[in-house]
Amino acid sequence: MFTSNEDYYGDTATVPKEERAELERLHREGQAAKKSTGSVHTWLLSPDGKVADTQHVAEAAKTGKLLAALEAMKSKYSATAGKPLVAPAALSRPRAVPAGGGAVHITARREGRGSWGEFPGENWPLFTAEEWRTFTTVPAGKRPGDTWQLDAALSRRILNHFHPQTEACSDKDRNTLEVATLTAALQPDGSLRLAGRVLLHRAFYPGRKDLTECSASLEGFVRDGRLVLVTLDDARFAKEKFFAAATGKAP
Amino acid sequence: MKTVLARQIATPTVGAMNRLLLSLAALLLAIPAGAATLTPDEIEKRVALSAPAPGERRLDEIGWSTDIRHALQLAKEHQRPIFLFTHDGRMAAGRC
Repeated sequence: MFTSNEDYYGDTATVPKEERAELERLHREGQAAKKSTGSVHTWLLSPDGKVADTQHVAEAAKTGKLLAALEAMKSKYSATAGKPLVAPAALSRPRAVPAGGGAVHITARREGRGSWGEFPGENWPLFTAEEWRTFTTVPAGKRPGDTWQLDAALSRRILNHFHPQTEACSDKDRNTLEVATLTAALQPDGSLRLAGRVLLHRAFYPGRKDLTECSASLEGFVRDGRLVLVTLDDARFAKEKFFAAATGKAP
Repeated sequence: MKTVLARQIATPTVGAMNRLLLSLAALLLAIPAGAATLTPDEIEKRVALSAPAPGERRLDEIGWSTDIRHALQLAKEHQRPIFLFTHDGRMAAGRC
């Protein structure tokens, strides 16, 4: 299993005290056994819940280090392959969708791979059904070719996440979102073409005052109740090109 | 992600006045609706440029317990060891 520390500690904590107590027990036991302990670690526990092995994440990320420890545990406890005890499921998914509402799926990643580019960053901003209608409904009296600005608050809710991975220790917003505009143009077939712009500044590491600029032009559409929005080739995070997209369906 | 801290992106410091000027410039340069440069098909294809590839979703193939107490209970019942990863942020969404 994996745990996010923000769910266990501080003003973002959501788990019951009994759950947090178990995590704190592991830390105490690890320290007593003079094993590496800390907030970002892998832990291997015996079937009776005792700390058997730990690795700092930087060690565990080295090829073979974690695998060797897992193999050792497998041998020690004669663990054999079998049906998963918990059914696998998609891990990246919206949290706490409002009744009748939905979520927009945002993905953003640097053009380069490797550090901070190996995987996309993903977000799932939530919408109520009414907000979705507000965002995508053609205002009365509009004709093909007419344009209008989409709801500013809802545009910001989406575009605030149009940046590639940075260190993110919590869900708390730390962007300075300076431009987040989306303009719709009604098409003859009733669909909407979207164009827009995002400009934000964000500290790469939490708590730092040096800000990285992130900007992009955007194009997209709303067709058959489906929203698609992508960055264009001018998208830059600092000097590096990045890609971002938002997709969503009417709830 | 924290597992790969080796290279840090350059993070230029930008003053408040510069940010304001850049914001105004960005507004002026915003592409007006109707000046679309991509077809809907091209927009659909660009979604894949940032989306995780199937091979990048392999964590989904593992059944993960959602809390430590549940994992302890399963381990005891089935006599299996536990793998636990504690981290900051949201590993499953790449924001960590």
